[in-house]
Amino acid sequence: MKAFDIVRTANRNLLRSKLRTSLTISAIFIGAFTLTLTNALGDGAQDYLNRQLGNVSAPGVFYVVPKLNDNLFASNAEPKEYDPAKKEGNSFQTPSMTNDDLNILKKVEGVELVRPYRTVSTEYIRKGDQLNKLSLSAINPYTSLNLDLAAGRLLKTEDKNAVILPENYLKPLGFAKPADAVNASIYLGYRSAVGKIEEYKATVVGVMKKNLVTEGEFHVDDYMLQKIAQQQGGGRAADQFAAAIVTFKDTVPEKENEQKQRLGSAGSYSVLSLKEQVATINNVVSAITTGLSLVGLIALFAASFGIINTLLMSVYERTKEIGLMKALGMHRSSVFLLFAVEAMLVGFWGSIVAIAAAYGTSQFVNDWAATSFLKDFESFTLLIITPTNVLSVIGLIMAIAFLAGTLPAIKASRLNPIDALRSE
Amino acid sequence: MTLKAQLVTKVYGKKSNVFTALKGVSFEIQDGESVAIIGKSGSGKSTLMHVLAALDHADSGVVSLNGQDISKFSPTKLDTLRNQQFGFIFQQFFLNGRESVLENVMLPLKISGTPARERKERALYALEQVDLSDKAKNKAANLSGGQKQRVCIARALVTKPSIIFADEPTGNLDSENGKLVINLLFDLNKAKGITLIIVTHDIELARLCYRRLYMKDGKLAEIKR
Ligand SMILES: Nc1ncnc2c1ncn2[C@@H]1O[C@H](COP(=O)(O)OP(=O)(O)OP(=O)(O)O)[C@@H](O)[C@H]1O
Ligand SMILES: [Mg+2]
Repeated sequence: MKAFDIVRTANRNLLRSKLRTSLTISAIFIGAFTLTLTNALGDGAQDYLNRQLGNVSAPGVFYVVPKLNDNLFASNAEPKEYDPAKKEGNSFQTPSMTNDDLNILKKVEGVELVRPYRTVSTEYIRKGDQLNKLSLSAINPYTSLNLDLAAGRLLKTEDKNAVILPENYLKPLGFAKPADAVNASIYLGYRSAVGKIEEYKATVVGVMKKNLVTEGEFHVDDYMLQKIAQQQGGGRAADQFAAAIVTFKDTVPEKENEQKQRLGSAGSYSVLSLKEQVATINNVVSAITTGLSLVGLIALFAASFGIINTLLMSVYERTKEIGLMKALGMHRSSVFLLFAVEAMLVGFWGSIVAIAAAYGTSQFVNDWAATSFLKDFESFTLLIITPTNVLSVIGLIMAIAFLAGTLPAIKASRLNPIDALRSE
Repeated sequence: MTLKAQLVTKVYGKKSNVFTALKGVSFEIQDGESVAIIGKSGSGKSTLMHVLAALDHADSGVVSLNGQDISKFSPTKLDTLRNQQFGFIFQQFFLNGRESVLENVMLPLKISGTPARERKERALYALEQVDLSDKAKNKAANLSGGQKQRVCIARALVTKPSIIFADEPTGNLDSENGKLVINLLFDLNKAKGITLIIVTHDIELARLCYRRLYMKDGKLAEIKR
């Protein structure tokens, strides 16, 4: 029997008992629908994260922090002799990097630039021509990630006293739209070493869109951070920072592993590439979507029993027909295929209908989300149905359906034509 | 095609429940012959026909086709043999009532993988031979008993077989329709040289055959010309 005829005959057989077929398909539908939407949610989040965190666009850039040798919640580690020379972390105090460390890292082969990663505590921000102050707790160094900007530009290494403003500060500061803030002057208030409030003048160069993780952060250039840190902490505090940002001359993804190793062996350091940082967040997203997909898979598992049941009934009903076909010379393999294809068609139609429904739902949900809880996240499309998603759902479900169909199909292919023809 | 049975036995059931339906049957059927298998109900006629037609296997003895032992054939070869060399007319019609007459007649060609167009041409020609061209598009379920049996003949014919096996072809028909079917079968035998092997209770039909094999309790009682 030709493949085309097998598919056509299987499809006809399905259409013969429409009610039964549609009930079986609806069980598949639930699983496929759930799976498509959870995939779409994952893809939507991924797409957003990629845009927010830069599509791993900064190879050759690493965070370096002192190595945490002990378990952070050190409970089962043996007590150790105190050694003031060691800067190892423990559960009470995170270690910090010093200028010595920066010098060590600078000497590592291929390193172009080493910057301290400082966070400086601040008190308030105000617009140049206004007196009302908005509270502001910290400012961060720029980390070379591609921030999603609403206006203006990113920071450059040579910038002095430049600020990237988070979008949610626009209105409170009195800017009507993002572009208005660019080139405006602002003052940052901070407490000096002796506890006196001081102000620091800076210029807005860009406005950053809101993202899922934070409402937005203040990013400032290194020059300005260092200035404030010096006045704030004086001596020792100003020379200690959470991490060092190391940039290599070679910024190709292929070299990352080797570069990472070189940094790690320069001292007792933990090294994290930006790519890995993004990957960490991506892992969280995929953990969530995997959990949701599991629900869809369980539904599909249940649905596969529906397929087995339907096809077994169909085999019993069509005993004579199968017997006749075998008597007329149909091969066992063709009989097997006839039923296996029938099962796969149940899966196929089920997933097609489910994907169509999921597509409709995604349009509706996206429209709704864009006007409600994602109103401020312009670039976030909640549900994105990709071709890969569609193909993999169809493929997976047809594979599950095929497996479910094998039992009835084997039963049918083993039917003895004589028994079938003699049956009443 | 010469069909030969040598000491063929067939046993049904297992252990305490065994029943020997064929107890060593031997005969030979020449190309183009017409043979009736007659005998009481339960004497093993259908069983013999199934074994001859490679639908069932003999438990001992040899069934050979042109001198070749068919028990040595692969399942695939047996399938092809039944599909292309044999035509079947069963006691019950075994038509698919929900499909059209044409679809039913095309079934053996569909199984053999004949292209759709040729399939249709040949099925229409077979229907013409049984005088049912006008019913090609009808649902098989809506035909009369005699018409259904003629559709079965068309289905048996469509692959241009060498041998037609018919199990009680007139069993379900009135005498008029029975005659029509008998005439059809013998026309085919004469015009195309198709071998007929007919299981029947019908004395009149048996007389028309070149030879008659009388079955009794699983044995061949006598062969008459
Ligand atoms: N699958 C089976 N298991 C056990 N016994 C069987 C089986 N098939 C047939 N028989 C027995 O074998 C014997 C021969 O059966 P068969 O169908 O060949 O008879 P028959 O001559 O065709 O009868 P009829 O004229 O009524 O059709 C019968 O006694 C029947 O009960
Ligand atoms: Mg019988």
